Amino acid sequence: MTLDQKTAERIAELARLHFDKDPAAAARLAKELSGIVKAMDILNEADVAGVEPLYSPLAEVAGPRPDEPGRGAEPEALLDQAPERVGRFFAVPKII
Amino acid sequence: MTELHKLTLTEAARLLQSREISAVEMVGASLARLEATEPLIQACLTVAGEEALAEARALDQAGPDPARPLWGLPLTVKDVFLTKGLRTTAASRYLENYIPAYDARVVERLRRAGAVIIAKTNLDEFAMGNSTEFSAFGLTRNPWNPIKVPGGSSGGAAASVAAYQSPGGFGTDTGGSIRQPACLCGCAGIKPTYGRVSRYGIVAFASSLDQAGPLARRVRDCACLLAAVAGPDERDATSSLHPVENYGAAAARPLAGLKLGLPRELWSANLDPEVRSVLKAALHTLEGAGTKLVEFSFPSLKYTVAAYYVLASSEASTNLARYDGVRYGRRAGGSGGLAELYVSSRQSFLGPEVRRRIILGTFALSSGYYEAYFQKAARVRRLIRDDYARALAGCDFLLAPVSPLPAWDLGRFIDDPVTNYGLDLMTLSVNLAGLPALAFPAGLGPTGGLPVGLQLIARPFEEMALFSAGLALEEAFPPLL
Amino acid sequence: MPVFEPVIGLEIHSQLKTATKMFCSCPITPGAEPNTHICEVCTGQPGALPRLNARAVELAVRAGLALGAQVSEISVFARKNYFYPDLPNGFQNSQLDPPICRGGGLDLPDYGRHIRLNRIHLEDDAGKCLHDEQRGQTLVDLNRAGAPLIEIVTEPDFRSAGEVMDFLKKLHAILVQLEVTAGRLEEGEFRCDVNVSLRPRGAEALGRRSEIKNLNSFRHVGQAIEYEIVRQGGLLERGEKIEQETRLFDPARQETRTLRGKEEAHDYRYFPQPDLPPVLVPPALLARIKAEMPPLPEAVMAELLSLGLTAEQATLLLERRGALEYFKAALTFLDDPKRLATLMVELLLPAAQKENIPPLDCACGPEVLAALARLLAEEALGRRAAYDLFPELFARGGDPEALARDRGVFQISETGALEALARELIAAHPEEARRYREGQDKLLSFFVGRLMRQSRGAANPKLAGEILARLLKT
Repeated sequence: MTLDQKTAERIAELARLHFDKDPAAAARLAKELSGIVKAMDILNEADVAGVEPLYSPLAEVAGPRPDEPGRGAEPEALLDQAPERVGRFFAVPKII
Repeated sequence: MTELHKLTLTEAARLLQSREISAVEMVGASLARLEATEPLIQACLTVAGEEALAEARALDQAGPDPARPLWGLPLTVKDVFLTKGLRTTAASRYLENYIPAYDARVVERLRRAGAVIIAKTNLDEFAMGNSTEFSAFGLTRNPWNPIKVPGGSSGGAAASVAAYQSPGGFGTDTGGSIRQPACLCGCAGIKPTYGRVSRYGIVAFASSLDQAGPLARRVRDCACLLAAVAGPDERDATSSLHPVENYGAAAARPLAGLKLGLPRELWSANLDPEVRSVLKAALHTLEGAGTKLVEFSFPSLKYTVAAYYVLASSEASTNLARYDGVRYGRRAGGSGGLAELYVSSRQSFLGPEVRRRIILGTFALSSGYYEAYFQKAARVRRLIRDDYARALAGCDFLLAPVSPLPAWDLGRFIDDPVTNYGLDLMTLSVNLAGLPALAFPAGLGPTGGLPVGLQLIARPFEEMALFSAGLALEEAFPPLL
Repeated sequence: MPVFEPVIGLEIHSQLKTATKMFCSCPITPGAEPNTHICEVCTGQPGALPRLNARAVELAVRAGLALGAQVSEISVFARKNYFYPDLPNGFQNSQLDPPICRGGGLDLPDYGRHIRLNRIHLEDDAGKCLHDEQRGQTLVDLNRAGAPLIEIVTEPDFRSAGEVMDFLKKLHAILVQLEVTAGRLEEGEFRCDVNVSLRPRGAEALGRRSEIKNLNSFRHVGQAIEYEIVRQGGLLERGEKIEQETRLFDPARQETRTLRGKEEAHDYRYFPQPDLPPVLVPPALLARIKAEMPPLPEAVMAELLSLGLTAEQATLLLERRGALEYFKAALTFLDDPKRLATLMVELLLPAAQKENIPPLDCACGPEVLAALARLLAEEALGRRAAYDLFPELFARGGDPEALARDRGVFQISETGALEALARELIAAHPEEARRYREGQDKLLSFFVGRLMRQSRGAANPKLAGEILARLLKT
């Protein structure tokens, strides 16, 4: 499959990133990405008919936790990390 | 006892426990060495000198304790382990001023075992890289030759250990990030079985691949460090309940009769002549010691790099969505509305390699491509794991190179992602399969004089067996540091 | 012009009644100060990892069992990726395939319809955004972030607003009775998205639909659907196209408005959440959840009727939040269900509703009401006196017996005292007494009334009647 620059720009937008405004730089990134995607296309050669996907190698894990309150990081310390804090809130520009 | 910093971790631990040296002396020696070597090596992003000395003084006051096997030992942790109150950056501008509100479980367990964390080591931003050149805060140099890379992404950890800044350090390994820098810097390092060490409080790269582990100058040092942190964690649902063994007490097993499988696709890969020559000699040594070497074919290995980069980037693309400029970290473009805030914060403070992988992963998960890339890669992942299981059923361990190259010149692959990703071929598949693997030095390249290493790969949760074999291999291949 | 038929489907989000959040041990406390119940997990700190709440799984399964769904032995969490300030990780933990329950349904006998469920799945809630117009800012509160939800998705089986409202009330009653959810609509603990489309009657294919998001009142659901049917009908009649879009209902204007169109549709990039192992419901767990299931509303209704309650009383106890718990608690103090139900329906529940206090939080707790009922049962207190005492008991609680003593309103059942009062009355009204003796029986109630008034309601009316009748005859 090919990843053209237009698709790549749309994908970047989904990830809340953007391409450089400089056309040369944008084209370079597009070319790099398209090269990587092309290299990934070797996957198409793999015979995986009837093979179940493996998403994680986890083994012998515990079940869910009991529904009991506990303590984590201090809320005050977490609020203090905010780039912008208003009272007890995390603040962002108004959502239209 | 002038050169305390040169002690191996096990030696230092013994002297500390018997009070022949104090925690302040040991920590002070490491800090002094760090101060002397750091201007050239640049292995550390944050040095916690005063805090470390204060902790050491408190330890001395309380006295050593056999129940705290790492009592008084100065250690480093890669700057992806969250340290409460101590800046943790993941080598990213986004987290440049981030002061965690909690400790990683590994850090908590190290402290409980009596260790003193002296520094946070450098890495490729968010652990994405194999040379530490993608750190937002500058590169790290290889102590064997400062114009060479230390490997990565745990390059700071490996360089720090190789420069004798500390007797050991912790890194993380998502696709070789412990084993490869250990190999390039001439140390030992282990990537434990997936789920062996809690990932809680470790800045995530790829959740189904990430695993923390130690680097040190000796195999036994690695065993002691792993023993202190391994085991289930109620805060990490992927941590395993499989019983932990007393790794620190591992005894060398005889090499004679050991059956080692050689994955043909890794040994026949395009190896640098320096590497080839050291490894050829190593195989010779092993045969001389009575091990039995058997070749195995891994047809699925040729899809390794593609499957890995699809899966790791996919997971990373959503693991890094939290860096949005809202709750912590750096924010840009706040005046242009929320949409602008998101894009500006991420575009300005996440580095180019990180952004490239986020786009790649977003692509692999997006509608219309999910089946062709993400799902396909996950199916290949099962093939790889099954191939490993089959091979490991027919031998004691698998033995493979770690890196096709010895440490390379700084800057060599920085603009060539496809070639650069290909260098990880030997290490990636172990993470895809979730297996434990121990990297150890096999010798120095005959011309370049740079370390070359091997990795021993075992069945899940066979860390104890790995250490036993590793101790024996250390006798066959003397440590380089 | 074809006649159009509405086709409606629902997605209901219900907050599960757990003590802690879905993936961390922060308590869930509605109405707490902003950002007081947050930790590294629910604020999406680097390195933080989710750990599933076992209770949430049990409650989701309970809901599935009650609704006749198929419970999955293995279900998985997926990450649903999108950016929003109230979504700390940049993804929601939800279930795509397989969900924890599939299928099931609910009958609506009044409409002769069976509504099929598509699925029930687990997911975590987002935080809350408050829009500060003056500052031009949005303020984020993450107390609710990570609260456990089930999403119940129906098939598009509804054909009218009435059916939808009937379904929602039934579903709500079931989930509340099973203690799957506290179900407080004003807290958003039971809210719903409605998909509405129109198609020519008799057609198979579905028309293009609009989705009305986040309705948390049954009435608004009905109004929004009615509005959508008229709006879409108008568009179709004018030959205009219906946009597939997301709309919001504005109760003040009684209309729906576009929130976002299809061009801004998301690509959620679902994939299995690698931080969470599959959710397992092995047969043993399923059996335990079944065994621990509280009875369904229908069963509770039957039980209440068997205790002698009227249908009206039983319905009210079932429907009014907290009423059944109060009733059960009161029964532990006094085994007189009929009298307790009467007092609850006539006194306690109206007062609690007026003051907007959950029944069990009233100063007049089950033990107080039971004590009052006991005084009535023992005829120590008259009905009138009991009802006069209630406002004081409701306001401050306390011991009804002591209060009755203080007010001097104990029922006078001593024959001696009543006889003395009766003699006085007869002496004071010789004319009426004469007419009674001549056969005007009705006049007895005149005397009883006088006696009751004189005793300020404290006399036992039955006994007073007997005594007066006897004394008047002699």
